[in-house]
Formats: sequence, C-alpha cells, structure tokens
Amino acid sequence: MSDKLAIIIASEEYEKSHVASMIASVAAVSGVEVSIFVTMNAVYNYLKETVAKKNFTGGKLYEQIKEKKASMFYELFDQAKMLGGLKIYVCSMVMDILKIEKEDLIDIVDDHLGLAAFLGIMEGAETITF
Amino acid sequence: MTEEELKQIKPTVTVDARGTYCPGPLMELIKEVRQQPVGSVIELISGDAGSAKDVPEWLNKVKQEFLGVIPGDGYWRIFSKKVKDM
Repeated sequence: MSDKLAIIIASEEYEKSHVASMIASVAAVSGVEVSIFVTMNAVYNYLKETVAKKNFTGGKLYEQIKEKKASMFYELFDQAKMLGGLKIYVCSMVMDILKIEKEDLIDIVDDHLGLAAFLGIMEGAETITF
Repeated sequence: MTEEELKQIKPTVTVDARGTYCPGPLMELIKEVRQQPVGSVIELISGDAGSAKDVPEWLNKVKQEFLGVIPGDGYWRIFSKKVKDM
C-alpha cells in the first residue's frame, strides 16, 4: 500500500462512514498519511446536531453497532487522529448549499476544502470512495 | 515462540481489550506500544477473532516484534515486544 490514502465519503449511509473510519484508523497508525473528504449527503452525518441526536441513516448493522455499544465512526476517527496522521475535510460546496459553518460540524473536522485542493491531496494517493 | 514459552513470559504490561470491537484491540495495543519503553513485552487480550491475524500484520508493518498468540476460551492472548521507538 502506498504511504498516502485518500477516502471520499459521499453517502449518508452510516455504515459507509463507519468502515471508512475503521480503514482510516488502521492505516493512520501504520504510518500512512490519511485524508478524508466528506461530501454530498455524507455531510449530514458530520453535523453536531446529527451526532448529538444520533440521527443517522443506517441499516441493519448500524442498529447492531448501537445495540452492542461499539465505538461510533466519529469516535474511531477521533482516536485515529490522536495516534496517527489523519485529516478530515468537508466539501465547501455542500457547506455553501446547506448554509452551514465550520462551527456546525463536529470537532474532528479539520477544515473545509474545494475540489481542486482535494485533488491536490489525492495526487499520488490510493483512493477509496464510499 | 511456542505456547509453552509464551506462558512463561512475564509481560511488562497487559492490556485487556475484551469488549471492544475491531479495530479497538489493535488501537489499544498501539497506545500501549507508544507509551512503553523499548524492550517492553506487551500482552493484549482480545475477544475479537481478527486480532490474532491483525496484530502480527501491524507489528510487521511498523517493524516491532511479534512473539506469539495463546488462544483462550473466546479470547486470544497476543504477545508483542517493543524493539524500537515509535
């Protein structure tokens, strides 16, 4: 695996952010520089309001994750950020459309980015899309 | 190391990560590997079947030493040694 990993999360489906956070965690602690780009409907899952109310869109596994009290995706991301190189960016176009500010997003989000900037980050990186 | 040899080991620290799900046990181990001095033996107890395969893979990747696994009843005791700073 290369030393750079870019993950694009576009779906609002809870499980997609969850698997992204698992892959990102293990990669980040293995010396891989990980960049996450949250865009489209996925942005809703990174709003403080959604997280506070656990108002996620999820399927059968999401229900089990809640029931078994497994760590949630944002907790995994947070832990990974403490242990390795991981940055989370939210798509500025979506923020513009939804009229949201950085303060509306959960604290694990580092910044908002446009596509040209993220394409720059993706250069030479392996990319996974959810 | 054989299972018999592993049973003789006195770990510097034991991390009981039973009750956490993948990648929880691995992340718990990593926190400990970072904190302990070089030369420490770390025992990880995991209830996640994947850990017995995941941990050696990670140790190999970050060039730390894998000593072996003792399978228990519904859990695994995984031994590793910190051989260099990280």
